[in-house]
Formats: sequence, structure tokens, C-alpha cells
Amino acid sequence: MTNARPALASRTSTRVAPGPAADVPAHEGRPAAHRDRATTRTWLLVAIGLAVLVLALLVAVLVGPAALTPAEVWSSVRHHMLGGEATLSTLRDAIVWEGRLPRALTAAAVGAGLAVCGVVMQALTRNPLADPYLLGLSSGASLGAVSVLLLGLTVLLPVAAFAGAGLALVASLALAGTLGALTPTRTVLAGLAVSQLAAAATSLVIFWSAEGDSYREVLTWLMGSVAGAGWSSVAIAGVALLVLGVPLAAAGNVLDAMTFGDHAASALGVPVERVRWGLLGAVALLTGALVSVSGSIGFVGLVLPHAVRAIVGSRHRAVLPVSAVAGAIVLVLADTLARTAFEPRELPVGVVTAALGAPAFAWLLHRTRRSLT
Amino acid sequence: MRRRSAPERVATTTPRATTSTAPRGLVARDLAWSVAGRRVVDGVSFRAPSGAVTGLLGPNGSGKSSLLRLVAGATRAEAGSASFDGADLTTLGRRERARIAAFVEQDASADRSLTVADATELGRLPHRGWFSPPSTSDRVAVRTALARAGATELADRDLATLSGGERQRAHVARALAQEPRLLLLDEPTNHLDVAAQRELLTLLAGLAADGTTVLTALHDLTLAAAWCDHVVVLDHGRVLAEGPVEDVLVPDVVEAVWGVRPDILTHPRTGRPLLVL
Repeated sequence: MTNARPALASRTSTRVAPGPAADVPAHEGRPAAHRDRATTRTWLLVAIGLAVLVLALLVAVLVGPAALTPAEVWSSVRHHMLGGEATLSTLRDAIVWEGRLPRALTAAAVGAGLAVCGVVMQALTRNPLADPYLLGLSSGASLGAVSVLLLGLTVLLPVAAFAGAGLALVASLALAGTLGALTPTRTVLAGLAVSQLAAAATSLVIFWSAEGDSYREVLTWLMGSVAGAGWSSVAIAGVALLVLGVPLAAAGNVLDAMTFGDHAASALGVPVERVRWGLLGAVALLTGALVSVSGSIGFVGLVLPHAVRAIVGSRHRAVLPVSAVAGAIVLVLADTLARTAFEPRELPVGVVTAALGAPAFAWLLHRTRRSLT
Repeated sequence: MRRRSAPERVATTTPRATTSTAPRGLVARDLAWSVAGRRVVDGVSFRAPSGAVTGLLGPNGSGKSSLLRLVAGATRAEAGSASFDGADLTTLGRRERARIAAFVEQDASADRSLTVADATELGRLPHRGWFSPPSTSDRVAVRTALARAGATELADRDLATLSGGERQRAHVARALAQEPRLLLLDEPTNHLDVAAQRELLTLLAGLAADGTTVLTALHDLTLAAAWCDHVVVLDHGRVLAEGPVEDVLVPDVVEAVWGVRPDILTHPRTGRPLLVL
């Protein structure tokens, strides 16, 4: 037949050669193990970050009212880890081993976990303002903790906080689930509703029963603090980070697949609904565990992912591990600052992260203003 | 159905005769899908022949997008099946299906800023493990896809800074990185100027000529008449007509579905039907 498409001649002349472009070698049978440059850069950044983290931990242990030397710290660590002889006094050993070290390690684990949770939440909800507490977790945990502090419930505070976070999570997801498929908007709105309700209940409990010193205790917890952290805190935060945080940090490809929304992700082979439930659940459990040892420390999970993206780009494969290490460093240093800036008075570390995080966020907004609409 | 063998294509496609008895190309049978109790796709059966551009036509709300999503596996069909070269897409594993069919959505927007190369690289995800970084073969496939879509020069640009036509080329590059045999597009010419429209349809025709089966929703009947080999007309979720353009886009069908009676001329240079609405 004669009916060709319009301007057949010009179409043929502009057509690209069929198959792989001529300048590209055929790729069948090539080894698939070569890392690309971006991956190498990511691991280099993580390695540098881990080295900086070790330095930050050292600083956190050295700095404080009782000046310690690196040799003393090493002696204490060796004594407890390897059974060597302690060359420092029992008191100074306790400052390292019972005080500053578990506190710094808790800060590191909490910071890493919050940063990873923040990245995942922002990706899952397609909302740059999302943070780990989005599903009402911090409000739920606060309600649990405040109930213990003020109402005299006879459970351990971390247990109550974790239970509160868990209940808030269940309530949020249940509410979102009744609205239909678990979409970003439904998740955010359900979380908001539960969060507000739990916050109202917390305020009521505080208003009704707090008096005198308990106000300060409650306030410290609500603002987020690792002041009381011991080895049990390290264990809770550390195990949660290993069991939940590491798989989350490895979920970069899945989160990348969701860049263009749920339909596009499905068409790329992602079981969107199952992935979203699974990742939200993991984020919530991890956040619940972190909140139970530290209260709700703000801004790390919100601002840090944005800062890391400004450096490494938006690919989750890079953002997740770098955020984890950066979160650890930031919270260790922030807690050291909180401990020492106004000696002998201590600030809750949440105050420091907010004081640093808010201006940092404003600066980031300014930097990325062209891509904001 | 396919009584016209496009002469310009014969040299570049593999012979159509196959040893298997399964029909080549996409075959949809009785696909159905509802939302809020309303049948949006109501027992749709059609074919998209192998190595041809098939246009999915119909007025707004006729179920074109929903049908494409069903075929792409983005939503699950309530009934019916869609098979490609004999493989049932509706029962295939997600990743396996994603290696056969790629989908370019209408107005797909990213939730973050990323470069065209990064966006194209997403198309490689079905080809590697969920925990693996891109391999050398992934990078080669990305470069090939960018070149094929005419987006090589755009590789380092931020997706958000592109013009409509450039962005559509980037999306096609992402789909091509999946190395699909079936390419699904939802109104890809929307919001494009005439030059960009022609460029895109040229690209699709070239891909079909190379053996890819292309199924694209279009709302512009003039473009469909000029570029498609085969068309499927949807109305209220049902197939009203299907077949070669010159058999389907006739005044009676167009008037019955769109409520406008066109004049149909023959293009003086290409000989293809020319719709005057």
C-alpha cells in the first residue's frame, strides 16, 4: 500500500541506527561486578565519616568538667574490654565507662537511626518535611513516658515509651489503611491525626499532674536527651540499629524506584503496597526503640537528609549510608555541646539540635530555592 | 487485521513468522477494572501487533489510562488477561514483567531533583538485585537508551529544568533502559509543541521499526491517523472499534465516539488518511 507516515524521507534520515548506538560496545557477557564511580565515592565518604565518628566519640569522652587524657580513656576501655589492668582511679574509670562512653555511643546510634528513618520517611511519603516522628511516634512515646513520670505507672520508662510509640503507629496505620491503599497523602494525614491526639493527651496529663521538679524531668524528656544513657541504652539503640537500621539503609534501590510515584514503581517491578507497609513498619519500630532511650530529638531526621542530599545528590543508594554516618557524628557532637556549653548546667540535646537544625534548614531552603515552587 | 506491511520496516525487523503458535505482540482479553463501584475498564479485548505503533484512542474518561496501567501491571485487573508473545503479563512476576514491558506515564513528576542520567538509570532496576549497585552492563544500557531517545546531550541536566519535549525524551530513555519489548505510553504528546510531537512520534515509529511493540494512548486523532499502524478506539471502558487506521478512523466511528463528523482526505504526499475535524 502507499500510505506511509508523513515525511517519510526526513524521518528515515533522522532515525538513530537500530540496536545499540555505534559508539557503545556490546555488553553481553561483560562482568557485572565493576563498581561505578558514584558507588566508590559513596563508600569513600562513609569511610571518611566513620573515621570522623571515631574522633567525635573520642572528643565526647575527653571533654567535660573532669579533664581526661586519651591514655586514660584507652586504659579504661582496655580494662573493660580486654581485662587489662586499669591505670586510672575508680572514679575516673566510672566517668569514662559508666558515664561518657555509653552516652556518646547512644547518641551515635540514635543519630544514625534517626537520619536513616528521616530519609526513608521523606521518600515513602514523597514529602520533604517528613521526619521519623511523622506517624505520631514521638507523641505516642511522649504519652507513654509522661504517664510513667507523672502518673507513677510501674513500668520502666523505655518500655512505656516504646509501647506508646507502638500504639501510635498501629493507630496511624490502621486509620490510613481504612482510607484505602496506603498512599503518601493518607499516611501523612493519618499520622497527623494520631499525633495531635496523643499530644493533646500528653498535655492534659502534664497539666493535670505535674508539679515542681517533675516539670523539669518531663520537659527534658520531651525535648530529647541522652543524659541518663547507660549500657542498656546502648544495647537497645544499637541492636535496633543493627536489626532494622542496616536493612533500611540498604533499601536505596527500592526508594529510588519510587521516585516517579507508585504506578511508575509498580511498572519497574516494585510491590509498592507491600514495600510501603514493610518500610513504614521498620521505620516505626526503629524510631520507637530510639525514642524509648532518648526522647524525641528533633531536626536530625528532618534536616540531615536534606544536607546530605545537597552534598551527594539525591540517589538513595548514596544518601542512606552517608546520612547514617553523618547523623551519628552530628548527634555525638551536639550532645557534647549540650553537656558542656553552659557548664555546670546541661541542656537537653534536642534543644541543641533544634538551635542548629533550624538555621541549617533555612540555609538549605535558600540554597535549593530554585527547585522549590 | 494487519493487512498492510509497512515497506520501510521489512529490512529492519526479524521475520514475523514464528515457530510458536502463540500470537506475536500484545493480546488483551476481557480486561476489567473498577474504581468506586464504577466499571472503568469493562471487558476490553484487543491486539497490539508486534513491531507496530498501536494507538489507543478515546475521549476523556474512556479508560485509556486505566487500561494502560492494567497492561503495565501498575494496577491489578479484576478479570481478564494480557499476554505478550504468549507470556501472560498478569500472572508473570513483577520484575520479569518489568523486563518485558516499560511504561511512560502521563505527567510523571519526580519527588526530588535528579539528572536525566539518574532518571534513566532507574530503568535498570528490574535487571539487577534490589541491593546491587549498577554494573558496567547497566551503564552501557543507560548510554544506549539515552542515545536511542536522543537524550544524550541532556544526560547531566536536571529533569526539572527541561522543556516538555526534552522531558518526554528523558522518560522514553528511562523506559528504553528497561530494554522492553513492549513500550506503553500514556498521551506522550500532551503539552508538546508540533516539532516536539513530531520528534517523539518519529522516535516511536523508529522503535517499532526495530521490533518494539508500541502501544500509546493519544487524544489527537489527526496525529493518530498520521502515525499509527493500528488503532483501538475505547468508549466508556469498552472497545468500540479496532483495526488499521484507514478502516477504523472513518466518519461514522469518529462521530459515534467523539460527536464530531470529520472529513477524511488523503495526504497528498504520504498517502495516509488526513482527518479534518
